[in-house]
This record gives sequence, structure tokens and C-alpha cells, in this order.
Amino acid sequence: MLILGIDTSCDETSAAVSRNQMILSNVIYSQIEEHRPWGGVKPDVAKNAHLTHIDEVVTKALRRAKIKPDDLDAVAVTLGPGLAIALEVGIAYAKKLAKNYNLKIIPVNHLEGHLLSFLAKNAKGRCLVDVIQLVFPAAGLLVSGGHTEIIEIKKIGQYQIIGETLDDAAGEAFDKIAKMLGLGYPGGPVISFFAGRGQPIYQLPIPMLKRNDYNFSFSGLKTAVKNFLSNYQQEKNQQFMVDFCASVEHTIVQSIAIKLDLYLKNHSLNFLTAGGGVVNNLLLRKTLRFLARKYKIPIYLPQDKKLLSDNAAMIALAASLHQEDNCFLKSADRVPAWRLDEKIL
Amino acid sequence: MKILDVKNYSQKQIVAEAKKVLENDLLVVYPTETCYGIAADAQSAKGVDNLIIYKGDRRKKPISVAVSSLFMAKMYADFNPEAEKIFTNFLPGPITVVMKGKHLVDSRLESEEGTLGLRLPDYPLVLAIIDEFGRPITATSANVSHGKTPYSIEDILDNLPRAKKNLIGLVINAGFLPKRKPSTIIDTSRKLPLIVRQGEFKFKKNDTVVINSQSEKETQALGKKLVKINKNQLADFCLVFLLSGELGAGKTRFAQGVGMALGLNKGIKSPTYVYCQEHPFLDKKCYRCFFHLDVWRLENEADLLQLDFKRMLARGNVLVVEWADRFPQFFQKLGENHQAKIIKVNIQNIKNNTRTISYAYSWH
Repeated sequence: MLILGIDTSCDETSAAVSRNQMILSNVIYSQIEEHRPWGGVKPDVAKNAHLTHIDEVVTKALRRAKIKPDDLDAVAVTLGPGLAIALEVGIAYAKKLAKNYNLKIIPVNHLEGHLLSFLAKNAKGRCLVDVIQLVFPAAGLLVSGGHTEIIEIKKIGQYQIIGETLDDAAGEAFDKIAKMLGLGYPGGPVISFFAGRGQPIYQLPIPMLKRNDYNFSFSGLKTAVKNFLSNYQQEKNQQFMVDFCASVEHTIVQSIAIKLDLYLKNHSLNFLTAGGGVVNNLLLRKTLRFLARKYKIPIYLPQDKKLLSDNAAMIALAASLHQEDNCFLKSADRVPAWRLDEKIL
Repeated sequence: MKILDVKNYSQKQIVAEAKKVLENDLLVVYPTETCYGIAADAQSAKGVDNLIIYKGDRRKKPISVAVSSLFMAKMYADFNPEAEKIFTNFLPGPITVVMKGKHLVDSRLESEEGTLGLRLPDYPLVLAIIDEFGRPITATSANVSHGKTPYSIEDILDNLPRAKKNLIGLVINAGFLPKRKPSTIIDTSRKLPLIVRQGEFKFKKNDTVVINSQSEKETQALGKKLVKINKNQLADFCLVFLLSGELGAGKTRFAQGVGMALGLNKGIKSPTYVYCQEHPFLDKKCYRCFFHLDVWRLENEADLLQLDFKRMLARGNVLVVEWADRFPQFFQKLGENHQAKIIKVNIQNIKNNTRTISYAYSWH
């Protein structure tokens, strides 16, 4: 089944083509422009930006996959969660395509896309694990600029949110602390880069440690960093920066790991997966692998960096896994606050 | 009774006709920037007699008077600095300023305490009539007492008894007027200026309240409290919180408090990444929306407009804008939107867990 995926949930305009779970093309607008530092970071606000790029992006995705719109079976589009007016652009475009070429529309939750992106097969058909080999329930971790959630995957299409952030997402905490340190925005990757050269020698409080649920909170960490920086009397030299970055990274990763550890301890789960931009962080990957070893379960992390950022391949992929569920709909409407455990149909 | 349509007659003709009618102590119905008003010669006892017969039961309520300039206003009332400030800053416009009268107009127009309401309408035709006539005219709405506020001449003339119709010498027809509230009445004759009637125009009120928050919970509670105070009037305006404060000040905590007051206990998180989160809520059986914005990542005002900011300002909605201090001018302009009630909240002096939070209503 050939599916065109479209994702315009926030900053990036993206389109991708998949045949079953095989990704034939995955085009993200911010990566078309080569001159941008660190791939699409300047927020091009929503609507107009998406409107200008979507045509180009879709055409490019089809061309790279070497198919014509007539060959498609369905178009998958993100209905949420995300920025309402940005979502509208993608949905309107998908509807237009569906009408012109007589395609089905498959609505996809952006978070489900992130969660299932480990199932992607590359153009040669190679993959980490085939979907039929999977045993459920499983643990999923979503960490990105906008989300931090622990999810129980009961089966494909059925999820339960076990824990989530009460305020800032982990990626956002990285970015904002980077800003406090004067590292610019977005500073998550920069903190990780520095952290690799330092040692976590500074003590920062790990949030929500005493609470027995699986929720996160990172706003207290921001305040703690602020207090630490204003009370720190010595010179803030390079050594301090790398060590402090390492401490911040350590604290954020630990707070995720502790909750995930607790969850894995209390429930018997069959595998662990993670999605979202923060999974690019090496310390987090290492920690997740450690946890998987500890509980003797396999871990599947998306290999391609492109699959970790906001992209449409994961949307097409999630749609391809959904096709049996018969959730096609023509009158798709945006759901800006779509929770993963909510059914919208 | 003559009806002149502003479309068919020149201003000069209408002004001349109005002057003639007023000199004959008859009444003139005229359009203003709020609703239709009715004019009588404010200095002629007979003219005011006719007006009072027309209006019916007044219970000695005073009637305000329209003038054409500050100079003319000063001839009929005693100005104090407050009144002068209002005249120079806000008039002409839909405001009636109450001052101590000089008893030069008919005594029935002034209140029992001898105060007089003066109006400087923002309507060139009316100003021309007053200029030409040379004396102030009455500026009460053209309905009979307890009647509905007239926005078209049909509102006035339908079902009007013939005896009352005969008192009207001229009707200046400007068609349907936009439905604006009557003028705002502000009494400057007291120690502190007092808004007697809140109309279309809203005075800016900048009383800053400062409180200390000892914990995140207190910050949240403040957000909750500020919504609860204003919740009853939500149908009339859009409630906007403009938050400012450094990273980690507790702006999202405040927004969570706002959400809780609206019955949204879950799911209010930092919107930095998506710029804006929508949370629909139910208020008096109406669906409204709570928009939680974060403009931290935005680069300029054009981006803000692209977020469909104007659409969010519909009545009944609640907005929380984090980092509003990044675009001070944009939000200053927003203040001119009549439907929005703006509360500026500033969180400062972050030391460990205590914060100083100041907030101010700004009416415009």
C-alpha cells in the first residue's frame, strides 16, 4: 500500500512516501535549504510558511520515491497535537489531494508517529524488527521539544499515557537552560556537545523524585539553574561551562531514567522504544540501553536521525500500520490537543 | 416634522434647517457616534419644556449638553484639572464629562447639586450645527424615557404618539448607526473622578497591585483568583493576561492557575514549542477557548499575526501570553481593541522560591 504522509504540526513542513513500512522518501522543508545552521531551527511561523512550501515538499517527496500521485492508495495526515493553524494547512492539502486523485485520508496522531518510527524499513527493506514479531504490551518513551511522556503500548493503535510532564518538556528544558547559559537557541544540541567534554560535578536537584507517580516536571530545574548561576561566585570559564552542561544533561536524563526505571520495575513489559528529538542525545540513548539490559528486554531506537525529528515518514508509517483499523475519514478536522490515549473517531 | 437624509442634502442645508428649527424651540433628532440624540436649545426654557414633554418621566434626572469645542465648554462649566485632562486627551469622543455648572443653561438640565454633563461628540455634522447655532444643545438619546436606545430613525418614530411627533421639527436621517454603547459618563466634580456609567469608551486604569508569592502554588492561586474575579463578565470581552518575567519565573504555573479557574485541570503545559495551545472550555453553556501562547520563539510581530492572533480575541475567550514584554508595542495597540480586558502580570525578583508578582488592569 502506497501512502503519502503529510506533517505540518509545528515548524517543519514535511512529506514522505511509504510502501507498507518501507520509507521511499522523507522530505522535510528545513533540510531543503542547505545553508541553515543545524537544520531548520529558525521558527518559520506556521501558516504562511507551510502554505508556501507544502507544494514543493510534496512534489519532491513523490519525485524522490519515483511515483506519480495516481499510484497512491491513501494520504495520511497529522491531525494533532500541534499548532492549530499549522495543522490546518496540511489537512487542507491532504483533502485536496484526496479529492483530486480519489484517495483515502488516514488521520494520524503525531505522537503515534514518533512512537512507532522504530518500525521503519529503509529503502532496501532492512529493519530493526518486523511488526509481526512484536509482543505487547511494551513501554514507549516520547521526549521532544514539546512532549515528554511515558506510554504503555498495549497494541498498535492502543496506548495509555502512564506519565507525562506537568509543565515543560525535556527538550524545552535543554533549550531554555542553554539560553540561560548564553548558548543561544535552540541549545539542546549545544549542551550535549559541551557535556561530552565535561564531568557532571555540580549538584542540581532531580525533579519529582519524591513523588511515586510517573510524571515529570522540569520548571523547577530551570529555577534551580537560575539560582545556581546567580550564586556561583567564581569565574565562569570554559571548564565550568562544560562541567555545568554535563551536570544539566545528567540531571535531565536521570529524571527521565528514574521514572522509566520505576515503570519498568512495576510492570512486566516486552520491549522498550523511544522517539522524539531528544533521543538524539547520546547519554539518553546510553541510559535507555542500560535500562533495557537491566530488565532484559529488547530496545528499539530509530536509527535514522531524520526519523527522530518532526517528519512525515513516521506519519505515513503509522498510517500503514493502521490500515486494518478502518479509520478513514473524509471530514478530517484538526485536533490541536489530541492526547495519545484519546480516540477521535 | 421634516426628515432630511444626509445622503440627499448637503451639510450646509441640514445645518441651516437645524438652526431654524432650534430657534423655533422645536426638537432636532440627530445622529452621533453612539446613538441618535435629540437636541433642544439648552438656554431656552421653552425648548427644554418641549424636550421634557417629549422624553416623559425624567424624575429630575439631569440632561447632558453638547458643545462644539473646549473653549465653548469652558463658558458653561467650571473646569478642574481632571476635566481638562479628559477634554484634551480623549475628546471629541463618546464621553460625557460631569463638572460644576455655571448655571448658564436651563436649570433643569443641571443636577440638583448644580453639576452639568458636557459632551463633545465625535461627529462633524453635529459640531457644525452647534457652531452655526452658537449655543449648546441637549445631548440626550432620542428615545422617550425607558424606551430602547435608538440606532435608526425607525426606532424613534415607530409607535411615537402624534403629540410627541409634533414636538420634533427635524429628523436628520443617517440610516442605521453602528450599535455602540452610550457614552461613558465620568463625574469629575468629586474628589476622585468616578465612572457613573460605563459606556463604549473605557478609561485606562493603572492601579498596580503587588504581591509576594512564596511558592509555585501561590503563583498558581493568583492566576485562579484573577480569572474568578472576571469570570462573570466573560461574555462581554476577551480576557487577556500579558505575562512577563525571566526564564523560570513561573509563567506557566500562572497559566495553569488560569486554566484551573476555567475548569481545565489537566494538560496545561508550556506552549513554547507549539507557540499556542488551545483549550476549549464551557462557560454558561457556551463553548469558549482558552489560548495559551508563548511568544518566546517568535521573531517579529508579523509572526504573531500569522498565528491568527486577531481571531483569538473574540469575546468570551481567555488568553495567556507568556513573554508579552517581547512585543510591547504590539500589545499596546491591542489595548485599543475594545473587546479586550487586559491584565499585565509581571513576575520579578526571583530568589529561591519567593517572587514578587505585580499586576495591573489596563482599560482602554
